[in-house]
Amino acid sequence: MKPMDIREFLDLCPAHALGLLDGEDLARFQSAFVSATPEMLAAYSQAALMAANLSLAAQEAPLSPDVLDKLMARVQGDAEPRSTAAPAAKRTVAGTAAGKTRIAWIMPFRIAATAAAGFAIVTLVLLAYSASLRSGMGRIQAAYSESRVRIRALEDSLSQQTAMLEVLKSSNMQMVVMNGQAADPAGYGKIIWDPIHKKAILHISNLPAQPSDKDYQLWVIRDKKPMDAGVFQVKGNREGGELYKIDQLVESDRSRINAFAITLEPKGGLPQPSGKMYLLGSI
Amino acid sequence: MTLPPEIPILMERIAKRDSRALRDLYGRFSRALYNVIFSIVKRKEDAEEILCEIFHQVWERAPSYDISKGSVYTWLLTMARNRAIDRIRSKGYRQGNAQSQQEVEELQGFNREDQLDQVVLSERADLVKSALERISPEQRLVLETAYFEGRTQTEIAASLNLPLGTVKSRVRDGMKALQSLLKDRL
Repeated sequence: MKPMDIREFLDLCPAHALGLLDGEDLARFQSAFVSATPEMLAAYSQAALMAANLSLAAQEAPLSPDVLDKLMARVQGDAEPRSTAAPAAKRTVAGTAAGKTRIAWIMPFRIAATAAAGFAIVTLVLLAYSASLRSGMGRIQAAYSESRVRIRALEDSLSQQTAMLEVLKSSNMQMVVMNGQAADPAGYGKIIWDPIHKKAILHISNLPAQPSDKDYQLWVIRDKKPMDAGVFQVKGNREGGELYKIDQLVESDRSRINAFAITLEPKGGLPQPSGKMYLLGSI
Repeated sequence: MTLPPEIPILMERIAKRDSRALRDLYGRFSRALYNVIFSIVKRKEDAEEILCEIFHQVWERAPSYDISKGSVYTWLLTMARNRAIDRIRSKGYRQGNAQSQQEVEELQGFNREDQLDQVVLSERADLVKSALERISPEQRLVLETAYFEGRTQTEIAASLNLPLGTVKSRVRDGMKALQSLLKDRL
């Protein structure tokens, strides 16, 4: 792989910051990034900021206030008190009662005061009922939102499994076994790989669940250099194993691939491996 | 420009389970983030669900969030864009492309000045939109396709029926032009 000079690195900074690079360009940029000079990092910083600024060019879309209500309902659950109406109503009742004492000798006013008190009680009941309805609505909205998330997860899972079947049906399918390393010798995995279509399935078992600030990262060792192949999280199912779909491997030429490896890296992954190696499978 | 509420203070309050602080943070960034998400997914229900999910993540992750890493807006923006792109691609496995490298912590590390937290986003949005109007339509189309459709340069070349080299040069020149137009204004 031809190394990237500073000029080319600077030219590709905007594309990388926008998430546009792929294939050879991405691999070479990642390699150059590891040993970037302060000038190169400064250029990248500018490009990253400009890419973030582009977000502000998005078309205005009306945002429903319901979203904030759903968020708050989800955050607070049933614990959010909605009792502000009650003290106000009580004040009304108390105020009315005081007035009634001062002018008790005037019968018509007494009747009016009684009616006002009755009205205040009805108002109090209605406000409490309204608060109860709002609270119930919040719970329903939160449940609805959770259901949508679950449905989406099931759809994603179905889509993933369908794609996995495609790899398994391929006549070009190959398999590489990955063994546990010092960090977790009991770990085990395998890559089931369709080099023609650059698709693969990763099967992992016995890996411990990663800390909340970490991800496992898959590496393809190509021409003896690690190439990022994506990050994933295990759910801690140490016995049954877990399957992940890898949509696009960077290399289809098996002869150039030396091994597959899995390391534990900071959340989101890194351009080059830095953490402990958990699995390794040589070809 | 008007100074916004202190974002680090809001994050500290959220970490202490102060839901009013979450409400304030939502008020500060939700519109800009929703616009980005909606521009990508183009479905109101999906955009609202993703926005809600992102702020719920803030609530859950605030206690472990390291404010010294940089811009909170960039963190939220990266989550928003990635989730929206994941949604339209409907894939459960994130690819090892440029986005995943710069996701969250790493991209934050390149915006340590917190520039995007320290301004009123609507004011800056006007400047960015105005600058986009001033670059060539060809460059603008490539940049908007890149940002709001989450495609790689190879995919953009195919969809716009352009040579890959042309896409690369339009991205590079377009971003340089934007940088130049906004240099003294942001």
